Amino acid sequence: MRMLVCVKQVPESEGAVSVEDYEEWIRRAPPSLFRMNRFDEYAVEEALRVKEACPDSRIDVISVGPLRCEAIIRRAMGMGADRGSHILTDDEPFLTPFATASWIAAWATSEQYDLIFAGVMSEDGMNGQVGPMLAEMLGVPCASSVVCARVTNDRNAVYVEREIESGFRDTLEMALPAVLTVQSGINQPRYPSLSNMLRARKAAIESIRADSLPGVVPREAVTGTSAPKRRRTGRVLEGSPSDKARELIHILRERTLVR
Amino acid sequence: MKGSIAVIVEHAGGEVKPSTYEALAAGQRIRAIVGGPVVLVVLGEHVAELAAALRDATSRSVIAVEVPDLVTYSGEVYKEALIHVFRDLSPAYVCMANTTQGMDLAPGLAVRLHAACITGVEDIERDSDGIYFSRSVLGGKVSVQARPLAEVTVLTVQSGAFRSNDTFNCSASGANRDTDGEGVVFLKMECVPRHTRSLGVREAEPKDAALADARVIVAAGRGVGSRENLELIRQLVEIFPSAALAASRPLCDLEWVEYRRQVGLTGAVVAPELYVACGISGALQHVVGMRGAGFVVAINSDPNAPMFADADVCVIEDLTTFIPILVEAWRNQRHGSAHFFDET
Ligand SMILES: Cc1cc2nc3c(=O)[nH]c(=O)nc-3n(C[C@H](O)[C@H](O)[C@H](O)COP(=O)(O)OP(=O)(O)OC[C@H]3O[C@@H](n4cnc5c(N)ncnc54)[C@H](O)[C@@H]3O)c2cc1C
Ligand SMILES: Nc1ncnc2c1ncn2[C@@H]1O[C@H](COP(=O)(O)O)[C@@H](O)[C@H]1O
Repeated sequence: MRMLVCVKQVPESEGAVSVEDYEEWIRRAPPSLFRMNRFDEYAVEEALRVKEACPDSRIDVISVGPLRCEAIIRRAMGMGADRGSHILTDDEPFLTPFATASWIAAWATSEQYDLIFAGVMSEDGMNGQVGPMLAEMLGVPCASSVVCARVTNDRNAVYVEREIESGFRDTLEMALPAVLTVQSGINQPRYPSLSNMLRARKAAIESIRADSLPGVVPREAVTGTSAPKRRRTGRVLEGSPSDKARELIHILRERTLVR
Repeated sequence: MKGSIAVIVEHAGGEVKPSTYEALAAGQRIRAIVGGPVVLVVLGEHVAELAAALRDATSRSVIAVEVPDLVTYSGEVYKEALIHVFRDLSPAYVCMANTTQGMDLAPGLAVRLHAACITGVEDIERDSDGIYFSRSVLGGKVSVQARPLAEVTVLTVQSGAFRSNDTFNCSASGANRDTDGEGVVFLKMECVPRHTRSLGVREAEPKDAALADARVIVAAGRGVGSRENLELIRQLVEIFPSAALAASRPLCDLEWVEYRRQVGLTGAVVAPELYVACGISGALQHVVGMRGAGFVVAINSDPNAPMFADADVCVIEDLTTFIPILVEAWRNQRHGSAHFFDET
């Protein structure tokens, strides 16, 4: 089995984020503020499990983004992926999913993968588009929100369960090659092992400049950012922790919501 | 009908899913801005009655695409059939709900239509440069405005963002069979999936009323940090009458809390009198499950947590230190120590 996992580097979302000047903020944020998209950790783990079930498999990982993305490619290799590639772009926080998918498709076409994994969505972009777009561009089937995946014994197909609403699962069998987008809860991602990390640190990562790939005409553009709309009064309690605690109990008591 | 606004109907078991009406409301909003007829498109096996019921309920034209053996959603078949329908209809906008079905369908469909794809749309407005769509990024911390650059736009509509003024209630059995034909276009299509074989929908987690009856829900998020700290949340539950513990998805994924207590898009939708969110960032997929709450308190150490935009009272504190202080304050007030009332 030849597998590809798409991994994205995302900013750590806790802590200060400049809303007005988000693009500038991303450009200036130190590399330590970035990590692997959590859904992609599940995707890497799932590929590793397929490899364990199907010996003689190989796992490639690919990431599109600026130089700092190498850190997560190495992290995926630390988890056990065999080879890493990097499609190098400028420091652009709002890469369209269409551009990302087009570049990954350009890479994947020549590589003849049997199974491609992506996360169900990126925590920063929240598009949920790259995986299904990639499948369409490669002309292969796609299942999204996958919470269970088993390659059949003949390795010609994959049985998948897609999580849908209200506790139901949509089950299907797809011919390979195929793209799966992985939902959280499918597995518990392992930590990188020390020996893998040492290997990953030395491994060569193939770097391809995005502008050397066929040009992509964007189909949408982000033209502004703003703070999210408030939907409730959002009264902020002030003072020491005990001041806030007393105030809160008082508010709740007035509404007869505490015992 | 060039320039039309197509709305994809989501349905199961002869019933239209309520999220369809939100997609329709978004379609109407686009119509108010750019004009063009709104057309509902419904696909599946035996959809004639459902189409008639939809026409009756919404007074919109409906295209019913009869596809033999299409019992549940299939991405492959939906894309194939819709591409066919859109060859004649050539819509400028295609709206669908941002459900697991819409999320599965929209991106691939957009690629085939050479369309812009904008997912999780929460607002639609216009300015001098034309129409634009607002959506959340970074877990809801930032809202961005996206503009289509292509002639066709496929969009998915975030749950709870668009409300229609009308309440529709329609199922196949409720169709008015006398007014057949008018306003409904019937197509028949043989679409045999080549790469996928549907094995049906099954229930993985039976429905459970664990959270339905609670007056108060205290919900824990990844911010609790460790399994041991859940004990703090349990202590907080104790100070409320008829209260239940709930959680965000990550804690259920970790199996710290049972799945049946997960609130959100893929969990329970709850509407207690009080919702206390502890260490929950407030991602949309969580928030759509609790927007119906009467009063919301959020405890989070990050002053920029999006959860605060959905809270009536915001407590910017580390929950591991704050919750014990809160429980203590409750005990003191309960025992009537008068000096604690002085400042409030
Ligand atoms: C298709 C789909 C469906 C989904 N369905 C659901 C769903 O049904 N329900 C759901 O919940 N999620 C769902 N999600 C996941 C959702 O997108 C978020 O990832 C999730 O809600 C985040 O959970 P969280 O807020 O607990 O964790 P995080 O986003 O990691 O937030 C943790 C928060 O805790 C705060 N914090 C950290 N330490 C402390 C401390 N010591 N004291 C106080 N605060 C602290 C942080 O500031 C942060 O705001 C879904 C995702 C997808 C893609
Ligand atoms: N820049 C990127 N590089 C590699 N993979 C990506 C990138 N952006 C998105 N992906 C993949 O596509 C998934 C969905 O991302 P999105 O469509 O942005 O929500 C992610 O979980 C990744 O697997």
